[in-house]
Amino acid sequence: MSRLLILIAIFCGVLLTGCQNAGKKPPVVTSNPIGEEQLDNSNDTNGLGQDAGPEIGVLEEELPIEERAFLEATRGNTALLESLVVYFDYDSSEIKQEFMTALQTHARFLEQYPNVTVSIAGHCDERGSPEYNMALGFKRAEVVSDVLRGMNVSRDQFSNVHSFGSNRPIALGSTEEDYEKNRRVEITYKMN
Amino acid sequence: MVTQHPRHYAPFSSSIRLIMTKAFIIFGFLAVIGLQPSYAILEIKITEGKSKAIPIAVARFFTSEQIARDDIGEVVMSDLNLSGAFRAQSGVTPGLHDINQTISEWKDKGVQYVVMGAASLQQTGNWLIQYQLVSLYGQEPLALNMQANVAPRNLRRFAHAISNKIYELLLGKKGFFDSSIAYVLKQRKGQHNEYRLILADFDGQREREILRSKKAIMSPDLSSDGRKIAYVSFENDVSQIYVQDLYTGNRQLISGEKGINSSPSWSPDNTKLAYVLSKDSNVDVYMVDLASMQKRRLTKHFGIDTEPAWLSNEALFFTSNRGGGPQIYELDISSLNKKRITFRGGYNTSVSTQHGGEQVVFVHRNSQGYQIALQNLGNGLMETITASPNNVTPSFSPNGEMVLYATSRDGRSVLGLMSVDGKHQIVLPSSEGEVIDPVWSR
Repeated sequence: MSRLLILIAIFCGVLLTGCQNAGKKPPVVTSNPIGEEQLDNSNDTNGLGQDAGPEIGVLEEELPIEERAFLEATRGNTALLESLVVYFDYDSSEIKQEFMTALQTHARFLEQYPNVTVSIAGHCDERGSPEYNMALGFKRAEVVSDVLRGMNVSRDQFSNVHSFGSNRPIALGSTEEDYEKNRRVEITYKMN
Repeated sequence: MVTQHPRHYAPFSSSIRLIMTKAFIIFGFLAVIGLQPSYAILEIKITEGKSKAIPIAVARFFTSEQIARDDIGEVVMSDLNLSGAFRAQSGVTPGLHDINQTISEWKDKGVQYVVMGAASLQQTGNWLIQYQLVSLYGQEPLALNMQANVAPRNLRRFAHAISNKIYELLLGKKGFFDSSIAYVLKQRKGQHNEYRLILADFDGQREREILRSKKAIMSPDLSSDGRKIAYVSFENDVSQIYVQDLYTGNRQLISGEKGINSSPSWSPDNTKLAYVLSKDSNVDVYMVDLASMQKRRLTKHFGIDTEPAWLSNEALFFTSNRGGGPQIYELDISSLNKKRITFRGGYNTSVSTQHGGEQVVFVHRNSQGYQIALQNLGNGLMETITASPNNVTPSFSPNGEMVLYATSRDGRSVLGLMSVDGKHQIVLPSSEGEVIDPVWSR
């Protein structure tokens, strides 16, 4: 369920930022509604904009080509979308071996799309000191960003590395299973 | 956004609302609420008593014809019972009378002291309050004999002042009944949570809302002059530290660095704030001079350094996991020398000090869960003073005799209040939501 929500959030986020960015970017990119058939010529982005003529605005459903490509890539990339959360042991910020493959997938994707940024947020289960948990959540987020950087992801691609401590649990109960779900780092993709 | 004009409602982002106007804040401290029938979020439930408490009887001050919301005698009785140092029972008739007529009756009830008082309404609308503390066994029976003119809205505060006098006279220690607490009330509102930062009397009465937000508020800390409160707000989706003037409502963003901005703590002289930043990748303790906004880094370690708590203007404690699990360290501010002070168990966090005090309280995890522990700074001896599984965020009363903390009851977070020896335990259950992150004024 939560994974589905994250998925939806990502697509919504991409659509939203896509539209906002469409307005902000210089006319060379935003003024050109790009048709489906042109999507395949994604290498030709710069050329397309050069002779664009007067700005005619962008329809909401028409995304700039890079964002479309991103959307296409993420839509097809189940490995990426199913690994947006990294889980941790109690009072630990050590990444378990089982998450390394997933992080490798993220790293490759981020290398491929240098305009894409990620926000990395650490979380803790509800137990213990809320302030220590803020710090522990940050440590977890930092370790994930360190691993990704070690896999050649540029520092500029981290829009935010931060912590919510124990303020945003996914599971609201107080069983060991709930705690396990809450000790996590969430990776959220954004288009720039 | 950063500050606001005191005469107006706060021009905060739409998710944040400041409830108090200037007038409300100024008079609110003198208990505007005291006159109006209002429900209390927190009620008192004494779960464990203390055996060596002083037996005392406290009579009502107001007769049944005199309508006042807070009977002074009842507030004093409640105060003395909450402290755990007294076992207070109610006296029989309101008013001052000759104690010699009832002395044997009281002695039969095992009482050692009697408090009685009378109130008469003045033309000004104020009450003339007279009260006496009588010792049934002392050589000088009349221990206190006082009178004062009190505005109706100040009756509750005046009652707390009487409790302080009795406590100080009979125990030789400073009272804490006029102190305040702050806490965060978290409530589910439809699809989202609502967070309210509340300031209240130490007994949970006279709640005043300081801030309301749809995003988390945490780590409130009151300045020792009682004028300001520092806290962490997630109103912009990331943690940021604010200082808010309780009298004017003015609010100042103190720290909004990249990463976390956490754990603000006032220096005893209120000129500095220690806090925790991760802007330089490590989670470290920093200090800012509030006049110059000059920042100074106090720790530098790749592990976690957090939760600063000042012992004096020259020294503070903090939590660090540099040795593995989180432990409490002492830091000398001029030399930056550090000394580990906790050694038992693998998890000691959330230290609270009494300025210049000889002991600290903190959260200590043992086989029963998260406990509040008390440690003597002289000999290093530690003892746990709670027994239920989930107790966090302890904070000393201003005189160091009691501890306020958050504890779980029926799956909800509520406030707990106890004597430092743990023998007298009270819970203040909330009528709504979860009560988290409590802190006591200095």
